[in-house]
Amino acid sequence: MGGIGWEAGAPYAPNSENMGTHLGDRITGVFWAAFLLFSWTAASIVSGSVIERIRSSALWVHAVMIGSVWWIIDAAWGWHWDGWMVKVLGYHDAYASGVIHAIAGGYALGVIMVLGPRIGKFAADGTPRDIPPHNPWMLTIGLFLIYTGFWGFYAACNVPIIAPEVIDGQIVGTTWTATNIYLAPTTLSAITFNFLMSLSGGLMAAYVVSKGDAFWTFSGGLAGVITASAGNDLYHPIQAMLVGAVGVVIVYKLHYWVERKFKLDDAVGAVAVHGYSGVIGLIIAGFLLWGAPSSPYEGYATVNPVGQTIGAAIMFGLLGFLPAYVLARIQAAVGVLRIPEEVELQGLDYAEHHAYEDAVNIITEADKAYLATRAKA
Amino acid sequence: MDGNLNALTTVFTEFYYWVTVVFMFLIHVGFCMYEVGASRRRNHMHTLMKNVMIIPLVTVTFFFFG
Repeated sequence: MGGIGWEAGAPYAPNSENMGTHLGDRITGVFWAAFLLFSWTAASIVSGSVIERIRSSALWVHAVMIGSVWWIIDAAWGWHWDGWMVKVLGYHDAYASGVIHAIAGGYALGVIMVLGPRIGKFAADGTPRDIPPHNPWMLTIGLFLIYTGFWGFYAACNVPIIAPEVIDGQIVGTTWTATNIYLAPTTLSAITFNFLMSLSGGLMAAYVVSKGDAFWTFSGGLAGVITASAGNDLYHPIQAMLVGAVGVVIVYKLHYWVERKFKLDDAVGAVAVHGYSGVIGLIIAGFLLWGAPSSPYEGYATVNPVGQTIGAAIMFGLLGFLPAYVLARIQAAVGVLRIPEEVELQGLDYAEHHAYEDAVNIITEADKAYLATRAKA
Repeated sequence: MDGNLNALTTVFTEFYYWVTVVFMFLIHVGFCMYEVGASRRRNHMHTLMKNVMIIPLVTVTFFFFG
């Protein structure tokens, strides 16, 4: 789990003595699981953009690459007190605007650029068409569950309790405290304020900018939190609300501009809600937190707009977009990226899961036959 | 005293992550519902299976190589 830092990953190696019950170690498994759930999240963000046309196998290769390779590297670089981005750039990304959302959004963009839009998404003259969700209630409950999980995600980004001497004496005093991922003291109380205020800022701004569109309003809450996440350990709640609101407006405009200009079909807006929000959030944090310490360690660069912008480019572009684009091009060249046209038109369920359709047909026929015999009798 | 304090810290940390990880599972319930809700009727099962199978595939690769 150390990314490219083998030493840091040693306790998590499959041959480590921590595997199986080991009474001297109670943390490895749960900490590993926290990182694993972030991996799933990165992979699931990508999966939304590509629905209704990608081959499952092609997506799974991408899921493994972002979940088990690229995100691990980005976390080792920028989401660890000892990461080079934190030391050199002053990169600060407490609740993963960049290390989860920007990278996943960039990754999704790389895949959909090669994958192409769903049949019918664009008219012959290039005008985008709306493909409405078939079930808005499921969409709503789904997003609300994501908010809930995201709240847990915020808590899981913290170290719950730590003694000052464990942080190499960087914190003066004797009070034990919770810290963020960079081992800077914080509290669950503070981040709960900021989580809720940025969620609300995002929801309100999205309602206004989308003129009450339900899909965008709900997604906007998420985008608000994601935009504020980079600095949500240090913002004032009012700042968090405003950052969330500003982020959503930019994300909304950017999404439609990109869709028209480049004819990209981002089926659930994941590139926008996660990718653009993450990038914008990092850059905004660079300005608002200019000069703040990126971690409690002495001699590290402080937070600054240049470092945050470079950091955003590394997350979205270098570790997200680029590997996705290259891999998708290879998959497309070999012909394993996209499902055949006739299957897409017929519906993927028929091609891949026709057992269900067949079973429904058989049982419907059986019902008809039964009714026919009853009518006779 | 110190020994018990350390034990309490450790067990608290263990429990804290255990709880937050379970909360985060809801993100995936949410993604599944969201994507199935967003896709057209003819593509439901495909969308769902593609999402669900991400979970074991990423878990196993993360365990061995992550």
